[in-house]
Amino acid sequence: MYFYHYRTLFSVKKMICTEPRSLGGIKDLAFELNNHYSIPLGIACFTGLAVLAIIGLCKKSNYVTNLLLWLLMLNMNSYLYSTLTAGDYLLNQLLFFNIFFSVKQNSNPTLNDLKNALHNMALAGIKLQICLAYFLAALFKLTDASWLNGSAVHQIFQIQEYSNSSLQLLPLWICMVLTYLTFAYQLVFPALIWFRRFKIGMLAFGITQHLIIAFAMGLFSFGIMMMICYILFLKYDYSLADRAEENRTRI
Amino acid sequence: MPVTGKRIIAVALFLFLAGHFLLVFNYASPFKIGKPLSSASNRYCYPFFHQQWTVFVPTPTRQFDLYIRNGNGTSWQLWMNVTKTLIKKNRKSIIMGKETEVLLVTNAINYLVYDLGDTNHVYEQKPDLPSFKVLEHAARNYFRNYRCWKEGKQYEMAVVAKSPEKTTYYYFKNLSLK
Repeated sequence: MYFYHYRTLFSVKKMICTEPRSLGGIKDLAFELNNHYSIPLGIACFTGLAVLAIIGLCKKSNYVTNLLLWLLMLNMNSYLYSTLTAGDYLLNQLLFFNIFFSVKQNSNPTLNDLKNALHNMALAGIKLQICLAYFLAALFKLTDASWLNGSAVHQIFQIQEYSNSSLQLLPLWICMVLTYLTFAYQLVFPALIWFRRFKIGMLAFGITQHLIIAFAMGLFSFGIMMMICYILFLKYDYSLADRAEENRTRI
Repeated sequence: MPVTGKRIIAVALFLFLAGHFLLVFNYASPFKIGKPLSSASNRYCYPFFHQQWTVFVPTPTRQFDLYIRNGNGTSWQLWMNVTKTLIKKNRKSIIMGKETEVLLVTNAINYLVYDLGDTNHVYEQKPDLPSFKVLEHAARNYFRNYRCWKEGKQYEMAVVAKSPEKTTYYYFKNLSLK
Protein backbone atom coordinates (compact mmCIF):
# COMPACT_ATOMS: atom_id res chain seq x y z
CA MET A 1 0.00 0.00 0.00
CA TYR A 2 2.88 2.38 0.77
CA PHE A 3 4.30 1.77 -2.72
CA TYR A 4 0.90 2.54 -4.22
CA HIS A 5 0.58 5.78 -2.25
CA TYR A 6 4.19 6.82 -2.88
CA ARG A 7 3.34 10.15 -4.58
CA THR A 8 0.93 11.22 -1.85
CA LEU A 9 2.98 10.09 1.13
CA PHE A 10 6.67 10.17 0.27
CA SER A 11 7.48 12.13 -2.91
CA VAL A 12 8.72 15.73 -3.23
CA LYS A 13 5.07 16.77 -3.60
CA LYS A 14 3.84 14.64 -0.68
CA MET A 15 0.60 15.72 0.97
CA ILE A 16 1.94 14.88 4.45
CA CYS A 17 3.13 17.89 6.45
CA THR A 18 5.79 17.03 9.02
CA GLU A 19 6.72 19.01 12.12
CA PRO A 20 9.73 17.90 14.19
CA ARG A 21 8.70 16.33 17.48
CA SER A 22 10.90 15.47 20.41
CA LEU A 23 10.13 13.97 23.81
CA GLY A 24 13.74 13.33 24.72
CA GLY A 25 15.64 10.14 25.41
CA ILE A 26 14.55 6.78 24.09
CA LYS A 27 11.11 8.11 23.12
CA ASP A 28 12.63 9.99 20.19
CA LEU A 29 13.22 6.60 18.55
CA ALA A 30 9.55 6.74 17.50
CA PHE A 31 10.05 10.03 15.62
CA GLU A 32 13.28 9.38 13.70
CA LEU A 33 11.57 9.20 10.30
CA ASN A 34 9.34 12.17 11.06
CA ASN A 35 12.19 14.35 12.34
CA HIS A 36 14.76 13.47 9.68
CA TYR A 37 12.49 12.85 6.71
CA SER A 38 14.07 12.56 3.30
CA ILE A 39 12.87 10.60 0.27
CA PRO A 40 15.64 7.94 0.51
CA LEU A 41 14.87 7.46 4.22
CA GLY A 42 11.15 7.10 3.46
CA ILE A 43 11.84 4.54 0.74
CA ALA A 44 14.27 2.68 3.01
CA CYS A 45 11.64 2.60 5.74
CA PHE A 46 8.81 1.12 3.68
CA THR A 47 11.16 -1.27 1.86
CA GLY A 48 12.50 -2.39 5.25
CA LEU A 49 8.95 -2.97 6.45
CA ALA A 50 8.18 -5.08 3.40
CA VAL A 51 11.37 -7.15 3.79
CA LEU A 52 10.83 -7.73 7.52
CA ALA A 53 7.20 -8.68 6.93
CA ILE A 54 8.27 -11.23 4.31
CA ILE A 55 10.92 -12.61 6.69
CA GLY A 56 8.17 -13.02 9.29
CA LEU A 57 5.79 -14.69 6.84
CA CYS A 58 8.55 -17.15 5.86
CA LYS A 59 8.95 -17.96 9.58
CA LYS A 60 12.58 -16.81 9.53
CA SER A 61 12.09 -13.99 12.00
CA ASN A 62 13.76 -13.67 15.38
CA TYR A 63 13.56 -11.24 18.29
CA VAL A 64 15.79 -8.68 16.54
CA THR A 65 13.88 -8.63 13.23
CA ASN A 66 10.59 -8.45 15.13
CA LEU A 67 11.87 -5.54 17.21
CA LEU A 68 13.01 -3.77 14.03
CA LEU A 69 9.63 -4.34 12.41
CA TRP A 70 7.85 -2.78 15.39
CA LEU A 71 10.20 0.22 15.48
CA LEU A 72 9.89 0.82 11.74
CA MET A 73 6.09 0.64 11.86
CA LEU A 74 6.07 2.96 14.87
CA ASN A 75 8.17 5.47 12.93
CA MET A 76 5.99 5.13 9.85
CA ASN A 77 2.85 5.75 11.89
CA SER A 78 4.39 8.74 13.69
CA TYR A 79 5.24 10.20 10.29
CA LEU A 80 1.78 9.44 8.84
CA TYR A 81 -0.10 10.46 12.01
CA SER A 82 -2.61 12.60 10.10
CA THR A 83 -3.85 9.60 8.09
CA LEU A 84 -4.10 7.05 10.88
CA THR A 85 -7.14 5.12 12.01
CA ALA A 86 -7.60 3.08 15.20
CA GLY A 87 -6.53 0.04 13.15
CA ASP A 88 -3.04 1.50 12.72
CA TYR A 89 -2.67 2.05 16.48
CA LEU A 90 -3.79 -1.52 17.04
CA LEU A 91 -1.21 -2.76 14.54
CA ASN A 92 1.53 -1.04 16.58
CA GLN A 93 0.41 -2.86 19.69
CA LEU A 94 0.20 -6.23 17.94
CA LEU A 95 3.69 -5.77 16.52
CA PHE A 96 4.99 -4.99 20.01
CA PHE A 97 3.78 -8.35 21.31
CA ASN A 98 4.96 -9.96 18.07
CA ILE A 99 8.54 -9.23 19.26
CA PHE A 100 8.22 -12.03 21.81
CA PHE A 101 7.00 -14.69 19.41
CA SER A 102 9.65 -17.26 18.65
CA VAL A 103 9.56 -19.71 15.81
CA LYS A 104 12.86 -21.50 16.21
CA GLN A 105 13.44 -23.91 19.09
CA ASN A 106 16.80 -24.05 20.83
CA SER A 107 18.89 -27.04 21.90
CA ASN A 108 19.02 -25.62 25.42
CA PRO A 109 15.85 -26.76 27.28
CA THR A 110 16.04 -23.89 29.80
CA LEU A 111 16.15 -21.37 26.99
CA ASN A 112 13.27 -23.16 25.30
CA ASP A 113 11.16 -22.91 28.44
CA LEU A 114 11.86 -19.20 28.61
CA LYS A 115 11.05 -18.76 24.91
CA ASN A 116 7.80 -20.68 25.31
CA ALA A 117 6.83 -18.57 28.30
CA LEU A 118 7.47 -15.36 26.32
CA HIS A 119 5.58 -16.78 23.34
CA ASN A 120 2.53 -17.57 25.46
CA MET A 121 2.70 -14.19 27.17
CA ALA A 122 2.75 -12.48 23.74
CA LEU A 123 -0.25 -14.46 22.53
CA ALA A 124 -2.19 -13.62 25.68
CA GLY A 125 -1.10 -9.99 25.34
CA ILE A 126 -2.43 -9.71 21.78
CA LYS A 127 -5.76 -11.25 22.70
CA LEU A 128 -6.08 -9.01 25.76
CA GLN A 129 -5.19 -5.95 23.64
CA ILE A 130 -8.03 -6.73 21.21
CA CYS A 131 -10.45 -7.22 24.11
CA LEU A 132 -9.26 -3.97 25.69
CA ALA A 133 -9.84 -2.12 22.41
CA TYR A 134 -13.46 -3.30 22.23
CA PHE A 135 -14.07 -2.62 25.90
CA LEU A 136 -12.67 0.92 25.69
CA ALA A 137 -14.72 1.62 22.55
CA ALA A 138 -17.84 0.53 24.48
CA LEU A 139 -16.87 2.66 27.51
CA PHE A 140 -16.56 5.76 25.29
CA LYS A 141 -19.97 5.01 23.81
CA LEU A 142 -21.42 4.94 27.34
CA THR A 143 -20.48 8.62 27.62
CA ASP A 144 -22.20 9.66 24.37
CA ALA A 145 -25.92 10.49 24.26
CA SER A 146 -26.43 9.48 20.63
CA TRP A 147 -25.15 5.96 21.30
CA LEU A 148 -27.40 5.66 24.33
CA ASN A 149 -30.54 6.90 22.54
CA GLY A 150 -29.85 4.79 19.45
CA SER A 151 -29.39 7.57 16.87
CA ALA A 152 -25.59 7.25 16.43
CA VAL A 153 -25.45 4.97 13.38
CA HIS A 154 -28.15 7.01 11.61
CA GLN A 155 -26.16 10.21 12.24
CA ILE A 156 -22.92 8.59 11.03
CA PHE A 157 -24.62 7.36 7.83
CA GLN A 158 -25.68 10.93 7.01
CA ILE A 159 -22.01 11.96 6.68
CA GLN A 160 -20.78 11.34 3.12
CA GLU A 161 -17.29 10.36 4.29
CA TYR A 162 -18.63 7.29 6.14
CA SER A 163 -21.56 6.42 3.97
CA ASN A 164 -22.95 5.71 0.54
CA SER A 165 -26.32 6.23 -1.11
CA SER A 166 -27.73 2.88 0.14
CA LEU A 167 -26.68 3.42 3.75
CA GLN A 168 -28.13 6.94 3.74
CA LEU A 169 -31.54 5.52 2.82
CA LEU A 170 -31.67 2.97 5.67
CA PRO A 171 -34.76 3.49 7.85
CA LEU A 172 -34.21 4.89 11.32
CA TRP A 173 -35.34 1.71 13.09
CA ILE A 174 -32.72 -0.40 11.30
CA CYS A 175 -30.06 2.15 12.27
CA MET A 176 -31.25 1.99 15.88
CA VAL A 177 -30.96 -1.81 15.87
CA LEU A 178 -27.45 -1.51 14.38
CA THR A 179 -26.47 1.07 17.01
CA TYR A 180 -27.51 -1.09 19.93
CA LEU A 181 -26.10 -4.27 18.39
CA THR A 182 -22.71 -2.60 17.84
CA PHE A 183 -22.73 -1.18 21.36
CA ALA A 184 -23.71 -4.52 22.92
CA TYR A 185 -21.16 -6.41 20.82
CA GLN A 186 -18.30 -4.18 21.93
CA LEU A 187 -19.38 -4.41 25.55
CA VAL A 188 -19.68 -8.20 25.73
CA PHE A 189 -16.86 -9.14 23.33
CA PRO A 190 -14.11 -9.16 26.03
CA ALA A 191 -16.18 -11.44 28.24
CA LEU A 192 -17.75 -13.88 25.78
CA ILE A 193 -14.99 -14.38 23.20
CA TRP A 194 -13.22 -16.81 25.56
CA PHE A 195 -16.16 -19.25 25.53
CA ARG A 196 -16.39 -21.61 22.58
CA ARG A 197 -20.20 -21.60 22.71
CA PHE A 198 -20.36 -17.91 21.84
CA LYS A 199 -17.16 -17.53 19.84
CA ILE A 200 -18.35 -18.40 16.33
CA GLY A 201 -21.46 -16.22 16.64
CA MET A 202 -19.41 -13.31 18.01
CA LEU A 203 -16.81 -13.56 15.27
CA ALA A 204 -19.46 -13.94 12.54
CA PHE A 205 -21.15 -10.75 13.74
CA GLY A 206 -17.79 -8.99 14.00
CA ILE A 207 -16.75 -9.99 10.49
CA THR A 208 -20.09 -8.79 9.05
CA GLN A 209 -19.73 -5.51 10.91
CA HIS A 210 -16.14 -4.95 9.77
CA LEU A 211 -16.98 -5.88 6.17
CA ILE A 212 -19.63 -3.13 6.23
CA ILE A 213 -17.08 -0.72 7.73
CA ALA A 214 -14.50 -1.67 5.07
CA PHE A 215 -16.61 -1.80 1.94
CA ALA A 216 -19.74 0.27 2.61
CA MET A 217 -18.34 2.96 4.91
CA GLY A 218 -15.03 3.19 3.01
CA LEU A 219 -12.72 2.65 6.02
CA PHE A 220 -10.99 -0.27 4.34
CA SER A 221 -7.75 -0.47 6.30
CA PHE A 222 -9.51 -0.27 9.68
CA GLY A 223 -12.11 -2.91 8.77
CA ILE A 224 -9.54 -5.34 7.41
CA MET A 225 -7.15 -4.84 10.32
CA MET A 226 -9.84 -5.72 12.85
CA MET A 227 -10.87 -8.81 10.90
CA ILE A 228 -7.28 -10.06 10.71
CA CYS A 229 -7.16 -9.95 14.52
CA TYR A 230 -9.96 -12.50 14.70
CA ILE A 231 -7.67 -15.15 13.22
CA LEU A 232 -5.86 -15.31 16.56
CA PHE A 233 -9.05 -16.26 18.34
CA LEU A 234 -9.74 -19.03 15.85
CA LYS A 235 -6.32 -20.48 15.06
CA TYR A 236 -4.76 -20.50 18.53
CA ASP A 237 -7.76 -21.78 20.31
CA TYR A 238 -6.65 -24.84 22.20
CA SER A 239 -8.23 -25.22 25.58
CA LEU A 240 -6.50 -27.37 28.19
CA ALA A 241 -9.03 -30.15 27.55
CA ASP A 242 -8.27 -30.05 23.80
CA ARG A 243 -4.54 -30.28 24.44
CA ALA A 244 -4.98 -33.24 26.78
CA GLU A 245 -7.17 -34.94 24.16
CA GLU A 246 -4.57 -34.26 21.46
CA ASN A 247 -1.78 -35.68 23.61
CA ARG A 248 -3.82 -38.81 24.35
CA THR A 249 -4.43 -39.32 20.61
CA ARG A 250 -0.71 -38.99 19.88
CA ILE A 251 0.20 -41.55 22.53
CA MET B 1 14.13 -25.89 34.08
CA PRO B 2 12.94 -26.63 37.64
CA VAL B 3 9.25 -26.05 38.38
CA THR B 4 10.10 -23.16 40.74
CA GLY B 5 12.00 -21.40 37.96
CA LYS B 6 9.07 -21.82 35.59
CA ARG B 7 6.71 -20.43 38.21
CA ILE B 8 8.90 -17.40 38.82
CA ILE B 9 9.00 -16.66 35.09
CA ALA B 10 5.24 -17.14 34.78
CA VAL B 11 4.57 -14.78 37.70
CA ALA B 12 7.00 -12.18 36.35
CA LEU B 13 5.39 -12.25 32.89
CA PHE B 14 1.91 -12.13 34.42
CA LEU B 15 2.90 -9.08 36.47
CA PHE B 16 4.35 -7.43 33.36
CA LEU B 17 1.11 -8.00 31.41
CA ALA B 18 -1.04 -6.82 34.30
CA GLY B 19 1.02 -3.66 34.77
CA HIS B 20 1.13 -2.96 31.04
CA PHE B 21 -2.61 -3.25 30.57
CA LEU B 22 -3.41 -1.30 33.74
CA LEU B 23 -1.34 1.62 32.43
CA VAL B 24 -2.70 1.32 28.88
CA PHE B 25 -6.27 1.13 30.16
CA ASN B 26 -5.81 4.21 32.29
CA TYR B 27 -4.19 6.07 29.38
CA ALA B 28 -6.86 5.32 26.80
CA SER B 29 -9.96 5.14 29.00
CA PRO B 30 -12.55 7.91 29.39
CA PHE B 31 -12.52 7.22 33.14
CA LYS B 32 -9.11 7.84 34.72
CA ILE B 33 -7.96 6.16 37.95
CA GLY B 34 -6.25 8.84 40.03
CA LYS B 35 -3.75 11.54 39.09
CA PRO B 36 -0.46 9.79 39.94
CA LEU B 37 -1.45 6.75 37.86
CA SER B 38 -2.55 9.00 34.97
CA SER B 39 0.79 10.71 34.93
CA ALA B 40 2.59 7.35 34.98
CA SER B 41 0.28 6.10 32.19
CA ASN B 42 1.05 9.09 29.99
CA ARG B 43 4.78 8.67 30.50
CA TYR B 44 4.63 4.94 29.82
CA CYS B 45 2.21 4.90 26.86
CA TYR B 46 3.21 7.82 24.66
CA PRO B 47 4.53 7.30 22.01
CA PHE B 48 5.20 3.55 22.09
CA PHE B 49 1.80 2.33 23.28
CA HIS B 50 -0.34 5.24 22.18
CA GLN B 51 -3.87 4.27 21.17
CA GLN B 52 -7.26 5.88 20.93
CA TRP B 53 -10.56 4.01 21.03
CA THR B 54 -13.06 6.86 20.81
CA VAL B 55 -14.29 5.33 17.48
CA PHE B 56 -17.23 7.56 16.46
CA VAL B 57 -17.50 9.23 19.87
CA PRO B 58 -18.60 11.98 19.73
CA THR B 59 -20.80 10.97 16.82
CA PRO B 60 -19.94 13.09 13.79
CA THR B 61 -22.84 15.41 13.04
CA ARG B 62 -21.20 17.86 10.65
CA GLN B 63 -20.44 17.37 7.01
CA PHE B 64 -17.13 19.00 6.05
CA ASP B 65 -16.34 20.18 2.54
CA LEU B 66 -13.17 21.74 1.24
CA TYR B 67 -13.52 23.98 -1.82
CA ILE B 68 -10.60 25.36 -3.80
CA ARG B 69 -10.42 27.64 -6.82
CA ASN B 70 -7.46 29.11 -8.66
CA GLY B 71 -6.99 32.22 -10.71
CA ASN B 72 -4.79 35.22 -11.26
CA GLY B 73 -6.19 37.49 -8.54
CA THR B 74 -8.93 39.09 -10.66
CA SER B 75 -10.57 36.25 -12.59
CA TRP B 76 -11.19 32.90 -10.95
CA GLN B 77 -11.98 29.37 -12.08
CA LEU B 78 -15.03 27.57 -10.65
CA TRP B 79 -14.81 26.24 -7.09
CA MET B 80 -13.85 22.59 -6.90
CA ASN B 81 -15.11 20.40 -4.02
CA VAL B 82 -11.95 18.49 -3.07
CA THR B 83 -13.48 16.28 -0.36
CA LYS B 84 -16.35 15.20 -2.60
CA THR B 85 -13.95 14.38 -5.45
CA LEU B 86 -11.70 12.31 -3.17
CA ILE B 87 -14.59 10.45 -1.57
CA LYS B 88 -16.05 9.68 -5.01
CA LYS B 89 -12.68 8.32 -6.18
CA ASN B 90 -12.38 6.24 -3.00
CA ARG B 91 -15.83 4.74 -3.57
CA LYS B 92 -14.88 3.71 -7.10
CA SER B 93 -12.09 1.49 -5.82
CA ILE B 94 -12.29 0.72 -2.12
CA ILE B 95 -9.16 -1.46 -2.00
CA MET B 96 -6.79 0.65 -4.09
CA GLY B 97 -8.67 3.90 -3.67
CA LYS B 98 -7.98 7.25 -2.06
CA GLU B 99 -8.62 6.30 1.57
CA THR B 100 -5.34 7.85 2.72
CA GLU B 101 -6.09 11.17 1.01
CA VAL B 102 -9.67 11.19 2.33
CA LEU B 103 -8.46 10.56 5.89
CA LEU B 104 -5.70 13.16 5.57
CA VAL B 105 -7.97 15.93 4.30
CA THR B 106 -10.97 15.21 6.53
CA ASN B 107 -8.82 14.79 9.67
CA ALA B 108 -7.06 18.08 8.90
CA ILE B 109 -10.41 19.88 8.38
CA ASN B 110 -11.72 18.41 11.63
CA TYR B 111 -8.78 19.80 13.61
CA LEU B 112 -8.91 23.15 11.80
CA VAL B 113 -12.63 23.67 12.40
CA TYR B 114 -12.12 22.77 16.06
CA ASP B 115 -9.31 25.37 16.30
CA LEU B 116 -11.19 28.13 14.44
CA GLY B 117 -14.41 27.91 16.42
CA ASP B 118 -17.99 28.05 15.25
CA THR B 119 -18.26 31.45 13.52
CA ASN B 120 -18.20 32.41 9.84
CA HIS B 121 -14.98 34.19 8.95
CA VAL B 122 -13.06 35.53 5.97
CA TYR B 123 -9.30 35.19 6.44
CA GLU B 124 -7.35 37.74 4.37
CA GLN B 125 -4.15 36.26 5.86
CA LYS B 126 -3.31 32.69 6.71
CA PRO B 127 -4.20 31.75 10.29
CA ASP B 128 -1.08 30.85 12.25
CA LEU B 129 -2.26 27.39 13.26
CA PRO B 130 -0.59 23.98 12.82
CA SER B 131 -3.95 22.53 11.70
CA PHE B 132 -4.17 25.13 8.90
CA LYS B 133 -0.61 24.39 7.86
CA VAL B 134 -1.41 20.66 7.57
CA LEU B 135 -4.56 21.28 5.51
CA GLU B 136 -2.96 23.91 3.27
CA HIS B 137 0.04 21.66 2.62
CA ALA B 138 -2.21 18.70 1.74
CA ALA B 139 -4.47 20.78 -0.53
CA ARG B 140 -1.57 22.51 -2.29
CA ASN B 141 0.25 19.30 -3.08
CA TYR B 142 -2.96 17.56 -4.09
CA PHE B 143 -3.35 20.19 -6.83
CA ARG B 144 0.34 20.01 -7.76
CA ASN B 145 0.04 16.22 -8.12
CA TYR B 146 -3.35 15.75 -9.69
CA ARG B 147 -4.16 19.08 -11.39
CA CYS B 148 -0.61 19.99 -12.45
CA TRP B 149 -0.71 23.43 -10.83
CA LYS B 150 2.50 25.37 -11.37
CA GLU B 151 4.51 27.47 -8.93
CA GLY B 152 3.27 31.01 -8.33
CA LYS B 153 -0.39 30.17 -8.98
CA GLN B 154 -2.87 32.02 -6.77
CA TYR B 155 -5.74 30.22 -5.13
CA GLU B 156 -8.43 30.46 -2.47
CA MET B 157 -9.78 27.88 -0.07
CA ALA B 158 -13.14 27.57 1.64
CA VAL B 159 -14.10 25.11 4.33
CA VAL B 160 -17.80 24.50 4.88
CA ALA B 161 -19.04 22.75 8.03
CA LYS B 162 -22.65 21.74 7.54
CA SER B 163 -24.93 20.28 10.20
CA PRO B 164 -28.76 20.01 10.19
CA GLU B 165 -28.88 23.06 12.50
CA LYS B 166 -26.15 25.30 11.16
CA THR B 167 -23.70 25.88 8.32
CA THR B 168 -20.38 27.59 9.04
CA TYR B 169 -18.05 29.00 6.39
CA TYR B 170 -14.31 29.65 6.66
CA TYR B 171 -12.93 31.51 3.65
CA PHE B 172 -9.15 31.77 3.16
CA LYS B 173 -7.95 34.37 0.64
CA ASN B 174 -4.60 35.40 -0.83
CA LEU B 175 -2.98 31.97 -0.98
CA SER B 176 -0.38 31.06 -3.54
CA LEU B 177 1.87 28.17 -4.53
CA LYS B 178 5.42 28.95 -3.56
